[in-house]
Amino acid sequence: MLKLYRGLKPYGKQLLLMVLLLFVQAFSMLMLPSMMSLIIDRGVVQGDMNYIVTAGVIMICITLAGSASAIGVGYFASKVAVGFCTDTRKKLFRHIGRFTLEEFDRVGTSSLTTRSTNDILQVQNFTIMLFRVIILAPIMCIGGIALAFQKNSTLAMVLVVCMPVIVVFLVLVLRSAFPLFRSMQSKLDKVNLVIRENITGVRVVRAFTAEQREEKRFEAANEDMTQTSTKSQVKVSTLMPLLMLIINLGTVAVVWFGGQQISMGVIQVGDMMALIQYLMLIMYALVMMSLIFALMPRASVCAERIMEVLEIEPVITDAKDAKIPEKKTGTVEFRDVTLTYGNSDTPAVSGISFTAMPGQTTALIGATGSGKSSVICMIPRLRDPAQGTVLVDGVDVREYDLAALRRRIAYVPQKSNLFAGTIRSNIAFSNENLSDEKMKRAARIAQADDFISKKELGYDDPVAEGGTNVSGGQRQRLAIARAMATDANIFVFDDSFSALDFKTDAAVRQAIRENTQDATVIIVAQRVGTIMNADKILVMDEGKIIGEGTHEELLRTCDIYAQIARTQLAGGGGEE
Amino acid sequence: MSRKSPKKDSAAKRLVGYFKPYGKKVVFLLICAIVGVVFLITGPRVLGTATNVITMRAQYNQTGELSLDVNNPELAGIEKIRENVDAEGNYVGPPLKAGEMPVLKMVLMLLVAIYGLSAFFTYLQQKITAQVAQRAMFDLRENVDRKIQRLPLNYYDTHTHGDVLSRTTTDIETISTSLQQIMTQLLTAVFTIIGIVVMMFTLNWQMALIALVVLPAALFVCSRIAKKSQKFFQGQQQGLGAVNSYVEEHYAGHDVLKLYGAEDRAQHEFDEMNDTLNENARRAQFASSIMMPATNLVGNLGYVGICILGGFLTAGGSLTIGAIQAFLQYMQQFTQPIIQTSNIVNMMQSTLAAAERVFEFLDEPEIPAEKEDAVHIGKTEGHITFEHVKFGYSPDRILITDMNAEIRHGQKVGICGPTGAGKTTLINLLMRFYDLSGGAIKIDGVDTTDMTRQNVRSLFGMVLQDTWLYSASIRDNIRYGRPEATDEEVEDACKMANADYFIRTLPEGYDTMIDESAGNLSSGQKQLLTIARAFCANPQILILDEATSSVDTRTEKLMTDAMKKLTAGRTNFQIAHRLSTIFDADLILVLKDGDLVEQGTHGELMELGGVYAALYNSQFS
Repeated sequence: MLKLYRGLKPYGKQLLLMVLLLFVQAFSMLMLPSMMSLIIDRGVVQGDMNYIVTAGVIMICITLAGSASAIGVGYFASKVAVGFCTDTRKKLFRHIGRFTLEEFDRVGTSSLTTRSTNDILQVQNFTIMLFRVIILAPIMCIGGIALAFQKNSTLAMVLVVCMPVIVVFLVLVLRSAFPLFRSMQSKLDKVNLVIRENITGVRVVRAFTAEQREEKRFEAANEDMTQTSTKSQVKVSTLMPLLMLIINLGTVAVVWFGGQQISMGVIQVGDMMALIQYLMLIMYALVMMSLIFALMPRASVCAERIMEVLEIEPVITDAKDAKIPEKKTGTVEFRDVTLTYGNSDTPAVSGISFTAMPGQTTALIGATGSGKSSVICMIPRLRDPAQGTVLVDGVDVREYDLAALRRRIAYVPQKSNLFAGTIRSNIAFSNENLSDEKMKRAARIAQADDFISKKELGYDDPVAEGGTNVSGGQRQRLAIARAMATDANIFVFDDSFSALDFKTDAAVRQAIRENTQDATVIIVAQRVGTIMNADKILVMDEGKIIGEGTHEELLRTCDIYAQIARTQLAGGGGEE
Repeated sequence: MSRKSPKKDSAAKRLVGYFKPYGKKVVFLLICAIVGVVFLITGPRVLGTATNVITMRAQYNQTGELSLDVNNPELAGIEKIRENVDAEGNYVGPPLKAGEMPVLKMVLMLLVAIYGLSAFFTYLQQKITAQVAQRAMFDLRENVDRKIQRLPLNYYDTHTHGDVLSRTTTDIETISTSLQQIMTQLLTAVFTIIGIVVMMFTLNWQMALIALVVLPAALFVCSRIAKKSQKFFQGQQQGLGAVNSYVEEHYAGHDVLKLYGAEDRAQHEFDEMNDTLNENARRAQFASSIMMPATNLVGNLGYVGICILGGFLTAGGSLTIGAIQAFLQYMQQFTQPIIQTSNIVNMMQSTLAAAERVFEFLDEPEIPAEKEDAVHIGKTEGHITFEHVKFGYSPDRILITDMNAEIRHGQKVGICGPTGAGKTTLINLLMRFYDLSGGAIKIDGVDTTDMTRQNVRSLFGMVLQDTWLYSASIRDNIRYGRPEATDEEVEDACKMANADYFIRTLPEGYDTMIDESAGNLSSGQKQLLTIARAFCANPQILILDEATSSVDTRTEKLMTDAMKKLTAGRTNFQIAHRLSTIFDADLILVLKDGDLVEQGTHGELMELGGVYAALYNSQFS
């Protein structure tokens, strides 16, 4: 938490101002009772009407000053806390922007999203409370006690005794309630889980006629949660009445001792009345401060989660003296490459060596998990090999300027992510100023112009977040068009034809070949039909290349390839 | 979809209805609240009396006289005082030494009792409120869950899971968290405000008028600011939503961003959104931070007013110092309930909106009741006939116009067609997830509408692509269709389904808990488990959805092998995406645009040269 708060440095001056205002606020709150006591003792008891008026005017001024400074505190608190969190969010987004697959694997995409949004919001809300309320409490306590001592030390002792009693009591109740709150939260999660399961699995539940059983399962979870929740609420409901009781008994004590002091002529009635009110003010401040117990644990967990991300250094960064080689032929070469994920002992792929030549199509085929995607993701440095080298145009990819390297490659990932915007903005993703002609050409190659022209606004038709308003096949074609709209001369397709039907698949591939005469094309696929015409096919199994050649060659030489081909291309009468 | 019933009570009224079963407790808690507040409010007044006693005592020290108002209601209960005070209120007891204050002692003891009782009743009220509110929420949740089971499947097919989930979880949570707060705070807040006003007027009407000016002013200021800040908070919420979805989208597509060199653009766009959010959030936070100081300002001005006016009145002799003190305390006790009330009014709006959505869900029409004289089939031959079946998801869009088919015991039926042809519709009808618009489906000659739905479904086993498992052990998941299955039967089923091997490699074997969404299992393993589940249920008729996407070749082999064992000797329906799985079917049903267009064996259909043949050629040429 503290580490994260280092980001508050640029707000130093505003914070200082805010603390000053807090002092003014506390001072004015404490001054009111003092002034009141003067009105009683000097004005009322001595019958000095003028004094009452003068003191009244001063009190109004104090009130106004206090309120103004409280509003000022609110202003700076919101400005600093929100601004600080905006900075953090920006820093985080920028930092995560440098992450590649390795880091995303480590933390998880959805977790990174939560940390960039909700976690920061939690920190923001806590920080505002901290500034506005929590810091005020100690100032009020110290100020109140100081003023009390100034009036009368015997009575001030009552306040001094009351305070720790309140604190101890607050801590005790909250401590015993917190575990209950936590367990209630997990039980609530369980209740919601059962509901979610009942909704998502409604077909299965009914197919197995398990409705009654599900109702019972829910009732058990519901009962469990209700009981814990009731218990924790009952515990909390002791809090306010008992706190009030302590304060009120404190007041009684002040009056008892005060009465004696007054009767002995040590203090005056007004002093005693002021002390009663200090006690009240201190109590409210302490209760507000108890918010820290309620908010802090959650906020500090969030802060830690944010820090954790900020402290991750991305593995893949630009080389120190990054190069932009002039030669641009499109050759991609793997030299004995091994890739290991995270801290895994066994490599995902190993001993990978091959060369993909310009003007040719190189294909990778194999079962899921055989390592096809792992191989090609090293070309644009989405991951770096543990051993061996990947060369593009004869230069180790690690020596490249990252952006320059990636400009040479048009890569279509397995998941065709689109972005909110229009069809145009998605195709012209790498170059906002892409000409209409080039954009349409790219769409034609991807066999996408047909469905695009059927859209109401054509190329300007909106694409929803994540592309949820276009079908899987259309999404994939747009992703291909996005790649075809670049100036790359290396094209990599990671299983990018899977959602297309056989006819479109063939048409897209043919158009790609026709339009990328001198380019290097690398295709990863699961369907033999997609790649059987490739110039070179690499067959992968368990992270190794176990066969290399053309379709015909492999049918003869590679058992696994032959087996895959047999099941997938089975003619009439064949089974499975 | 949601037809509003003609006579619908307001959400608030219905919510209150949930407290009816606890009527006695509610009455009791109301009494406790009132008693608690009465004691609480009496406190400052008695304290004022104590202050007066002290002032008089100070006078006594100077003059030797002490007079008390015996008609003061706070003192009326203390008999001891009467013994020492004559009818005029003059102290007639033994002369007092310095520091000896018998009257003060008695008043303060009375005060301790009042405060003690007040705390006790407030506690009672809050405790009972907690219990009652939690119980009422329990009932509401039960109703919702029961409703989930009684809604027709149509509801789930026409509403997104997200919508249903937000009504059944988020909205209910909103209600339950705010309901209790509303109940505890609103009651005491309103009672306290009323009580304080009454008390003030009985003390001194001039000063009470100040309070009466302050009260509405504070309420007004509060509600204005609350309204304003709520608008800003909506802005913050929108800004958050925008940033949230932007972040989500761009993290999910982070590789695309990098591959196409769009990082800088994305950062720029993000910064803009972030700045907008900053602006909105700052405004919202600032607006809400004004609430306290503004209310305090009004309250404090009232405080000052009382000091001044009280000063004059007291100096003029028509008011006691104790009364000023009581007034000041009342003024301080005022602000808290006012802020609470205005918060609660806001909260109530969102709570009622949530309640409305929940009640809307509870008002959805349910599945039509079962026939009373339903026929029960225990064992079936698996002989199924479709007779002039007519069906559409809505009456004005009939999909299946006139379907006739006969499936005999042990036959394999393939269902195929292009995507969106309505293959799942047939399953919906067979399992009676939907009712027919016309015609009949008969099992062993019995119309399925003459049976209970549960009876129909108990005859079927189902292995679907959507591998739903629930959070329990693997063992419990397997015996889902037949809870009474023994451990051996479960394990046998898994062996048959080729799942036994991988289950045993798991750290806790059959007792391994399935996580939410079963993240600890691969999708192939989950599919094997659903096959095992079907084995264990041992149904007489099977429905299988060929599920081979995202499964590696080895698991696929295990699955086809298991499916083969499962279907042996049982009438079975297979939905095929790849035609190769149904070449050998006894009957192939070909669907297109929702309707059955062709039926026959592979050979017959190829000869026909229609939809099936075209489909075949597109896959294998």
